[in-house]
Amino acid sequence: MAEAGQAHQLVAAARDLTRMEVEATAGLWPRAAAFLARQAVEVALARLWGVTAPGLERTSGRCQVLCVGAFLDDRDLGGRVVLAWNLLSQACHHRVYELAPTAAELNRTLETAWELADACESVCRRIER
Amino acid sequence: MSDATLLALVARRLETHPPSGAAVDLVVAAFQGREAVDSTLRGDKLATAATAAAAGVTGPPAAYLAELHVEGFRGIGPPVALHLRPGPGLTLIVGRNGSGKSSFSEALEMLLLGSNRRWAGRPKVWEDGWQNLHHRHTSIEARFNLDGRREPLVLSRRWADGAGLDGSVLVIGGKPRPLETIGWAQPLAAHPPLLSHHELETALDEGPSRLYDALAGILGLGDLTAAQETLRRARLDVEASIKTARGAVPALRALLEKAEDERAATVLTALATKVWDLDVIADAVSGLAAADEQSTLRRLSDLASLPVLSREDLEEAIHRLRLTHAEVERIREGDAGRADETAALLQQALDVHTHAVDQTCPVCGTEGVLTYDWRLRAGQRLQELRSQAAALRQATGDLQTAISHSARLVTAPPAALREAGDAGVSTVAALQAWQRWAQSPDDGDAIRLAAHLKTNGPLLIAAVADVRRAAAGEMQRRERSWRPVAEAILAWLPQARAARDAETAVEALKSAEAWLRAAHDELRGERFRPIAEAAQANWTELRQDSNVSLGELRLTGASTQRRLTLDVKVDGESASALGVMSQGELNCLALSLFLPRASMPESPFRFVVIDDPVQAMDPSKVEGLATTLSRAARHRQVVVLTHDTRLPDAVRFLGLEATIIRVVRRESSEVELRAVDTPAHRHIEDAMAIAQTEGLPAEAMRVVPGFCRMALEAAAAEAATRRMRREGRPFADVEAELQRPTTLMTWLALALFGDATRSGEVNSYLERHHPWAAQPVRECNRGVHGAAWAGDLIGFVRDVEKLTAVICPPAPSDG
Repeated sequence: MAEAGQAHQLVAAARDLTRMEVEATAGLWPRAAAFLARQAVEVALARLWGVTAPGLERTSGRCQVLCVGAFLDDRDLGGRVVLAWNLLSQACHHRVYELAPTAAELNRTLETAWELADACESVCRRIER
Repeated sequence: MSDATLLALVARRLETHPPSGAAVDLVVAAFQGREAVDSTLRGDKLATAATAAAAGVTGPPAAYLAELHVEGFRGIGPPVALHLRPGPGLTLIVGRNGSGKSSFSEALEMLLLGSNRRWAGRPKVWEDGWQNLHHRHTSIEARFNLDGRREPLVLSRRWADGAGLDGSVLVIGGKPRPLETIGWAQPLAAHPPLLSHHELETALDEGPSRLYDALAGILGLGDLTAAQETLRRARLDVEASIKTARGAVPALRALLEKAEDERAATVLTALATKVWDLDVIADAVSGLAAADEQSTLRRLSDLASLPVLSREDLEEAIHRLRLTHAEVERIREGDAGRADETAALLQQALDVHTHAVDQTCPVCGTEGVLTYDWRLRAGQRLQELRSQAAALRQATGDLQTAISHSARLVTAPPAALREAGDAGVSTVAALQAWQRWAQSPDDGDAIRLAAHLKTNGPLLIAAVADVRRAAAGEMQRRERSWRPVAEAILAWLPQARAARDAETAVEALKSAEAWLRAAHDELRGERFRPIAEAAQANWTELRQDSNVSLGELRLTGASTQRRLTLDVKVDGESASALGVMSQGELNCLALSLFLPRASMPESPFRFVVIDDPVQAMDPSKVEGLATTLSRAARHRQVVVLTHDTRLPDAVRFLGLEATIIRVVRRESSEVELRAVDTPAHRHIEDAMAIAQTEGLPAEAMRVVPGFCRMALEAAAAEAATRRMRREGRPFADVEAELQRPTTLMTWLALALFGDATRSGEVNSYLERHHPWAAQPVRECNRGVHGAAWAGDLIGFVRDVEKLTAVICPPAPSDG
């Protein structure tokens, strides 16, 4: 089961990557950051499902993100999670001609992921208490 | 027609910051044109600003775009019809480049404007490609739903076969006529409902004054400038009339100074004051003025009417004097002089004799004389003497009457003659004659008096006649030389009166102008504020991660200095130019500005067609664009043509309500339209995606009815909208009605019965007509709150899908 705070750590790590100026990661960081962000979303959702709907974490990503709005009771955030998920899915599957996401796109996605992690955490805490 | 919102602002400002006096009416009149200003100056009462503003509101009815039929135009060959939802909402028309999608927006532009901005200024080859290569018959037709009308408005543009691009005829409601006849020409220019990619891309390149013009047009700020200009022209005309009147004065003055007439002096004095005393001048010229006692004219007129001694009266008086005098003399020549005394003596003698007995005279002592015979004679004599005395008395009385009568003819010289002065007439002879005449003997000697009259009377008569004649002649001479001057002044007087009125008019006009000038920037700012705010909100949403922030937007300056000032900051630092922005950001900014312009409440166009706003836009902006468009679509019909899938993806993933239509172009320009996504359809798709998931935990199943419920509500909203539009309900009603439902049952009641309050009947209606649907609706209604799901989830979603089709049958474009 996903631990509390793990999703936030992943988002923070992804953010660090976008800000790092290291020769070694040059050209690779957008996809790497996208990969971390996607993991963050998966972890945040796993934490949420663990408390609210055990087993949902084993279904498809699309099914999971479609359920976010209903379980968090926030259609707006739900929509943005779907959008972010689609962007991350595209970035994480290597295609020859697909361009990597821009820094702006990634930032926006990371914001959404962070917000999702926050929302999941607060719902879980409420239920656990 | 003036901009109503602007007029309302003017009216409010006139109340809070009124200009002086008559200027209030002039400011209001200035917005109604020159005639209104002129009649206000004449003192006519005009409509107040508030009523003028109210009168300005009646524009053409609001319109939504319902259908667009295109044939043989640009990329479109055989006829194709685009069916749109004629109401607020977002429609995306998606097609690859070259699919013919842009041909729809170009066709709409061509239909409305008869030209295309994209081709303007391009080489002729661009224009030559207007007609489709595969289909040589061209026509464009659009149907618009009008507020409160059941029948759509049909606009079409047709080309005779072989006609050029310019050879089209616009047909409105079956008759060839221009757009002015339905009041669309002006709003089309002010609130263009078509935003092409080309326009978004170049709008900000054309400089701040071009942007000012693009935005000022919609704000009615042209009215503000026009009103100022109207006042200025009115003032110039009025000032010209003053100038004419003033300009004539030197010539008049010269004329007056040459004139010896003393009226000239009066007029000159009246002209010398700062404000001409026109009443004095008018009276002086028309002769109405009560002439001064001392005035020469008055003296002349007095001399001309000197009292005349009549020759007959004179002769008569002389004759009577002589006659009565002769009579008295004649009577006196006898004893008549002593007749009374003698009569008295005789009477005494007779009295003495009556008592005496002897006949002796007591006076002389002669005896025997006082006989009876004497007594008889004495008595007779007494009678004679008495009548003689009476005759004398009569004659003397007549003489006295004659003398006093003559004396009355002799008067002192009249004041007019004594004080004639230098009236231009010699009066010396007459005065001397009169003075001599006045010195008549007053010793009662009729003969001397008669001689005086005889000598001096005719002299006086002649002298007075001379003076009268001379005075009258002098008056006539003066009048003759005065007349041209008087006529000149009379001709000038109306101008002068106009000029005098104009002086007050100029003051009022200047005050009105000053007020408008002072209020201009303020009014402009107030008028522009909603747009600026909307543009800023749009930008904030669109910019996403851009480091460029948009501060205040202001319209400033006038004429060549006019500009749209954009307060652009990059990472918090002020940047003066738009140069810091990328092309994508410039497009976003242009869209931020033009979207509010097209959504102004004054515009009759409730639709806005945007061609490819996504080009050159970086991906993160697309999300903002989707949100911005979706927000604009709450109250407007927003139709967006786009070549890539980023925008529809963003709309779909963000869960924004939109209809998505795909354009596919086959061989020979055969263009096909398919509605690939409607709000209801998308919710069903999401519901189905979850329902079909294997191993879905029971807790997650409750999500499915939630999506199904949204699908039903979307279908119900669409059905209700269609129904009300068919009924020709006013747009405002429709929007209000759609705000009403809060629950699924009220939505269904609105869709099925056209009445949201009949939600209690929905269940029995479904049981009766669509019994299979009653259970799924109950599940949708219970869904989110309900317990774990136990039934056939997929079957449930299929039933709901079927029900959405029953509630809202697919429109022609819905594939």
